[in-house]
Amino acid sequence: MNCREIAEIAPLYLSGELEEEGRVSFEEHLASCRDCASDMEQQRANDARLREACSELPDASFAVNAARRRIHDRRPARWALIAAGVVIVAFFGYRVLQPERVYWDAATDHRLEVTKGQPRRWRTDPAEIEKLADRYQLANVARLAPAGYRLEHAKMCGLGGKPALHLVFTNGSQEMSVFVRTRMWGSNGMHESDKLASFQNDRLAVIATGGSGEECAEFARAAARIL
Amino acid sequence: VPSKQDHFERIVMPEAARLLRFALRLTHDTPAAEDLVQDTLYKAWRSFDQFQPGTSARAWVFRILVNSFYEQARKIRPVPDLSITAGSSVEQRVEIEQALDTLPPEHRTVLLLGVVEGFTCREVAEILSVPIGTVMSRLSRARQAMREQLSEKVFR
Repeated sequence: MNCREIAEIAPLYLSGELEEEGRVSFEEHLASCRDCASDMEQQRANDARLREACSELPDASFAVNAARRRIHDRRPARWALIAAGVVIVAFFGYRVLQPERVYWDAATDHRLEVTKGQPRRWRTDPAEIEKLADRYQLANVARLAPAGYRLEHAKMCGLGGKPALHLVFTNGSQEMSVFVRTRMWGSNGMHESDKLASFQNDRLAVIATGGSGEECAEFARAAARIL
Repeated sequence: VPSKQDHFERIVMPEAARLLRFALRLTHDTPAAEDLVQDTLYKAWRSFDQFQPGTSARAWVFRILVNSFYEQARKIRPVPDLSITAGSSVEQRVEIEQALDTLPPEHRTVLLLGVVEGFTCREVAEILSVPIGTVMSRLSRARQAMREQLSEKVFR
């Protein structure tokens, strides 16, 4: 080995990475070359000074604890919280808004199909109507009529996304729509507003519209007696 | 069978102080260094499955730190802070630290890894993702520069 080669592989010698054979010839050169020997001596000394100057280990407890907190952090990720929030808002929003949607659909159906008389396939045969009512296990739906009213015709429709039985009652001058469907969200019992009334129990909801608030309420009370 | 967590606590967490010593020299900023170390430890935990048992955990986690540092390097502006020393031979220590800090970062890095942390040239090459020949030449130049810096101070 010559001095240039020694300088080149000195880092491997100082880090102890030279294999036996290389180390022996490296040291043979040092033994015969005072310049390289003192050079290497000084490098070693400087390395030792550097190591000594940097020997102190800092206190890493802050970083370690911060890392542990992150590692053991079982809190759900931000996206999961947002997703849960959306689900909760959608669920409760649906609960609150669903009856409103049903009422809206009922009023719209009454206006288009009864008031405006848009053509629909109405059933007028009482036996056929009873058959439609069977799906709600509701025998003799004609009983829903308060005094003075009789069942005119009926058909299936949809209210708030669920099938509903649309019954039309008349007293000769006034037509009333009564809808029967599975119960909506919200509490059991009567609900009244100025153009609509409803009654529901654990199983079914009956929504009446088409007349004044009081006329609608009469149908809802009749439903309360029957259900 | 020790859990992944126990294993991690046993072989990676003890490297934290060395990581911080190195990070302080890289960033010259204590909060930035602590942040770099905690981020490194967290990343190490996340990729702990990829650690090859039987290889050096120290070299593995230093490599993660170096990569994190390069990632953050654009954001971190080094603030030289030479006041972080105490101990017996304060003057000499400050002198060496100042000499170290005058080196270009790539030379300082190989000295810190190869001399202070005692990694082999091969390990330093892996940590820095550079060829071993590059590590050797940088180490030689860094040692030369340190020598010049220190002898200059002696004659002053």
